[in-house]
Amino acid sequence: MKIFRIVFRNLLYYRRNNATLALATAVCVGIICGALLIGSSVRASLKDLALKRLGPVDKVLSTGITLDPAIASKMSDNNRGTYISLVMLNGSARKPNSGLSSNKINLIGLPDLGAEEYGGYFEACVNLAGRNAVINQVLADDIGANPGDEIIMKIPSIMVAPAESLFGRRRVGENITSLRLKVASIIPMDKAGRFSLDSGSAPPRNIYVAMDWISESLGKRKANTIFDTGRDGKADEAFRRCAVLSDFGCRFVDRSASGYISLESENFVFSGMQSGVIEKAMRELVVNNIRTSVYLANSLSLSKDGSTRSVPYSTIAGLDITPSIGPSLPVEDNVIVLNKWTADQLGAETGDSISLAYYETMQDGTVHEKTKTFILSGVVGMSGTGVDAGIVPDYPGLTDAESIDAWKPPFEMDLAKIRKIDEEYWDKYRAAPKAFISFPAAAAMWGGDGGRSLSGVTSFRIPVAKGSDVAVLIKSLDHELGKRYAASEAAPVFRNVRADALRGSTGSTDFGELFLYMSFFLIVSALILVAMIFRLSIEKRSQEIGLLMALGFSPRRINVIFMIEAILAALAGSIGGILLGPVYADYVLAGLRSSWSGAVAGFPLFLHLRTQDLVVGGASGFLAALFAVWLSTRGIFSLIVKDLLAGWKPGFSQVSDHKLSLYKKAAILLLVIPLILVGCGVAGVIPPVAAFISAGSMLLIFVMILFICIVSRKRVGEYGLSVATLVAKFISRSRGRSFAVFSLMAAASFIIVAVAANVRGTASYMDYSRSSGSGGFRLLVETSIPFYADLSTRHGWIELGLEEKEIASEIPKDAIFVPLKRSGGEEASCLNLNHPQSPSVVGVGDEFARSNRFTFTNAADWTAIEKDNLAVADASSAQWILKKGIGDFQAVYGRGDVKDELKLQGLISGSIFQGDLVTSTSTFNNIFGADTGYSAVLVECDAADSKRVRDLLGKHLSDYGVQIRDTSELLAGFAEVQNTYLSAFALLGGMGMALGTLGVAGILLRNMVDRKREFAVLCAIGFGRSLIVRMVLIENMALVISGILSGAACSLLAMIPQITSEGAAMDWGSVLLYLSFSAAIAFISCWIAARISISSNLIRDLRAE
Amino acid sequence: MSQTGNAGLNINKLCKSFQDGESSRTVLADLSLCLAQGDTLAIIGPSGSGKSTLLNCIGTLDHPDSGEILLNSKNISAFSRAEAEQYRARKIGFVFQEHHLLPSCTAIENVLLPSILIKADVDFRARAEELLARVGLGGRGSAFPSQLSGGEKQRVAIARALFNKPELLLCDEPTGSLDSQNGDAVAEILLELSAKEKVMVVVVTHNRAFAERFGRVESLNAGRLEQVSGAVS
Repeated sequence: MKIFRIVFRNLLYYRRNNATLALATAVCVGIICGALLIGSSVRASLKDLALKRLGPVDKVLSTGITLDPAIASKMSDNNRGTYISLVMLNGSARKPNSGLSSNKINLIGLPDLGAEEYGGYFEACVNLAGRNAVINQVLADDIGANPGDEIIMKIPSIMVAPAESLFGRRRVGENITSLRLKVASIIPMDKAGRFSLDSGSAPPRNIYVAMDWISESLGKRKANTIFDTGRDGKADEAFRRCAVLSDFGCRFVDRSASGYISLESENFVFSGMQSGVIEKAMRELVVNNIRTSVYLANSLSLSKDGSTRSVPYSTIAGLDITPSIGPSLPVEDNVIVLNKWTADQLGAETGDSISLAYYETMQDGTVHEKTKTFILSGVVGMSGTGVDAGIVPDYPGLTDAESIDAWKPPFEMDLAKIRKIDEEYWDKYRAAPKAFISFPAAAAMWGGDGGRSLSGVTSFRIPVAKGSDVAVLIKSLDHELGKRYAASEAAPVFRNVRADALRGSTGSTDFGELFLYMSFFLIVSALILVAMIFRLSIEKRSQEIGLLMALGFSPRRINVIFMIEAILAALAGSIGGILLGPVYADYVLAGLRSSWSGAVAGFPLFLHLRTQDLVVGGASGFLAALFAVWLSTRGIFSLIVKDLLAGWKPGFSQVSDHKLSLYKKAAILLLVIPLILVGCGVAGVIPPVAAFISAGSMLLIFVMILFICIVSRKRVGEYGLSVATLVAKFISRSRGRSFAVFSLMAAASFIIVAVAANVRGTASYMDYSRSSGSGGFRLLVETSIPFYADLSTRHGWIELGLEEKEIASEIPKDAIFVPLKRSGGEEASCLNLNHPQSPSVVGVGDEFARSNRFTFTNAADWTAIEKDNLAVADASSAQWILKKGIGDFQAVYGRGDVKDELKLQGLISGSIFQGDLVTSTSTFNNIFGADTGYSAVLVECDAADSKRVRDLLGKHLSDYGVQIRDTSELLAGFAEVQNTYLSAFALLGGMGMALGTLGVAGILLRNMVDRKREFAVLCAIGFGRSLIVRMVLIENMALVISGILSGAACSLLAMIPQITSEGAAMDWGSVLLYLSFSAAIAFISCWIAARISISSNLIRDLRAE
Repeated sequence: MSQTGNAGLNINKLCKSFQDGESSRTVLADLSLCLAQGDTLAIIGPSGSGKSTLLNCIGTLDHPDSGEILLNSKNISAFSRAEAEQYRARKIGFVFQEHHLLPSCTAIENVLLPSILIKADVDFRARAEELLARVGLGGRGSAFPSQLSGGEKQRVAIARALFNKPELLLCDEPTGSLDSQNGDAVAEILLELSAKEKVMVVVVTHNRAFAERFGRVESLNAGRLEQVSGAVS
């Protein structure tokens, strides 16, 4: 005879108990496995999604439309097919005459490669002819498009000059290109249909066209993106090897006839960084050059002899002359040289004071005329530099105009000032500068009121000797300068989008952990059930334990026998739980795809089985069950053998006076502290939410201790004989059981009420005060295509296309408009399940910072972002999504995907900026470029004006793919995630409560069976069966209902701030339903148990007694 | 283990009292007893006289307040818990009023229970079958307790008590839940086994007729034993 034989026999004999134990363990293991599987499934689904949306693309290089499309094939020389040059732009699309439109469209122009070059991923989108386009299903659904239909797409135009400059085309309509496309086919949301570089939850809207066609339509046969599909890690190296200066928005113009080559920016003027890198490279290569800056003078005037002569709208140039080269031009900032034509027009002589009026561009986009006075130091003849139109880079709409009258400048011009003679000059000399000033003086005109990133250099003039092979020289310079430029900080770099996506797909929220927390009560209920079942089983078998002890079995050995039994039962349960886990996880994931989709912002999540989760879940649930079993057996093996042999049952034992006194002191303390906390909360000494939650929780513990005190009171001679006293004695006799029932019900109802109290309705987000989450803004206006009109200024509205009288009549007087620059990073809010690697950044101006909006959770204010590279984030997003705190650095990808960092300096609570980091405009400009347009506007206005503002902006920004939302809608969207979690938590808590109630029902049932003989005695004495049932019901329902009411009352106290706050949307009906349901289960179980107990042959039981 | 006195069971000045509320109730007062190998003793007395307490003390299931219990010169009342367990496993056999069979095990498995505590590579089944045969249950070894009558269950309990060849068999109201016919059968078995195995048998009973079948009968009154019949060996 071996121990295992006894164990085996016991397992079979007590199969019902063991099966119940196994079942409870299975529930526990199933929930843990399920929760872990949910976490893994979310991560795996995100990873799948990330890999699907990227297809073969590993790394991406993005820049302006400056890349020679052939660069990819050059880079692929030794690794064919690895790199692909293409055009990728964002825009909006609509179907003509349908009223249907869609925003945030990816326009992808693919080169005409064989389908195999794309690894089969983009095969449905290649070989497109002309304006034929392939669109994906979601976009087709949005705009109701079918094959053969025409669609209009709006995309940003290629800027011919920086938007921040005088020559930048900022007016609405000037920086938009309209494309008319024909839908060739519609592809499903798979492969190319799913392709996106954005990790957001919204399915991408893609339009594929031929790269040649789109680049031609944009007026440049260039690309702006390179895909690396090779994953060899050498993309940057290959790019640096193959890139030439022309790939960085520069061009060489052969002016050898004038004795030089001109290196110009495709953007009319070089940025400070570009210019610095090129100058350095030329110094290294010892390339002689003259920096040139051209600008437009509104007038050149000379007041002499009581009369003033003027020449309108003249180009002026500043040449950075070195003594060894060039003509004798000004080197001092206050002197000017005129060409002869101009000097004649003005009647100017050396030493005269020439006034130069020009437009200065302010940071807000407005222009102001400014006048500077120069001393005429000389006159150049009408030859050579004096008539060199090549000094002025091409500017479409100006330099290519037939006449001055035909100029299409982006600024105001008084054409009436143009004289016939000016037109004649234009006809003869085109844009040749009429005046020359020093280079610093000319470059300074580009600077406006400061804060610009522009260098003012419009070209580098590289002298060439007569007879030189200019083409060879240009090629050599292009290559050598390009190599150096590519290695500089100004060059774009490849971003490892796959690595970022995979890192991001680990998720910002660990759903496994989350569901473990949310299922905590369910797990605890299952474990309590395990403990109770085992305890009851042991109590039932106390004589067996006594016998084994009498036979000489040590308590340890007996414990081993029982534990082996428990281990085997729990093992069976664990196996069952491991099978149950995936079912539970699949059920929850189905919920997350449907009714709980708000919690995952619509991400499609599917079950991914991972052995590790099943093993870990199974093992942890198994160990937890064994721990519960171990806890339940504590003390029983140290009982006296004779007691056990006599059929020991846990009965009433007096609590010592000392212990009781301790309980009472603890209870008093726990009653006093909550009162103090509530007082402090009301007085505002500590935050009310924290005060009330602490008070409510302590009150719950107080109630539990009070219960112990009440049921532990000595009852000698205390009661007369009545049903009530009998019931009270029954409750006191099984103190442990009574406490278990009471505390379980109290804890469960506390959680149920607390969860329900935290649900927020939309009304809570209708707060438009400046300290609220809306920051005082009523509307958020977002566009797919950036615009440049600063709507916080009158000038901005004019650029938007409004007339002066419209500004007065259509814009509400008290409305405040705050345009925002926003980078194209990832959403940093709870609406993005991925862990953002480079969150979206918003740049706000000083005016915004001074307006003291939102509420900071730390001791900071908007001055926190005044210094460079500092940022403010929403507190919840920082903590939960970005996993950052104050002082932490967050990586962001700036222009050209160059990595930069922002330091978190302030946190604001529950704000509309949950998706972004907020920084100053200057930091934003440094990282993302000053010419980034506005892609959002926040509007503070009265409710009555809301519609007017919506209509106004909707009309004027419609081409930019505008979307206007009430900020309350935005906040409610964020809150839906929390509300959905709460709803899931409530359901899982409810399930836990139901399971706990079932456990309670089990205890009651067992209790009834144990008390059969007691009932028999009562019956013999003359108690009617219905009276006994009634007594049993009163006894148990008193425990259940007092537990529920106590828990709910404590929870209500704890949640007073939430319940009474504006927008509270506590679903009292659901709470009552959950609590009533639990009480009903307890009642039914109790009634059934009592009926079963007294329906048996009580006389036989009495005889046994 | 301490060693004093002679072979057999010697109890000297055993005292045991219980706390009853605030007062103390003496159950055993300076009780002394001698029993030699093969002796059979029946202890009678009214309910609450301390018969079972005495038996529990001898069986190390309870501790006396003072006095000593010597079994073959070993003071078992001073045993530690582990020593007591060993002692029970090797030297003592228990038979209770309630048979206390493991309902999950068959009759023979119940008899074999003590074998778990014996570390020897021996087939104990034969002994268990032999014991079952000696108590008249040959061929009933595979029956579960629920398939046995009250008398049969008690006989299985006796067989189990004898399995480890005890020096002392302690029977607490062994016929308390049996009819007279089964009671007689149990008495026969106990006396026969005592004679054959030279086992000391101490029986506690209310049943005077049953008691008188044993070699010596003592009555427990006011915490002391008074000889009723038979002679001290």
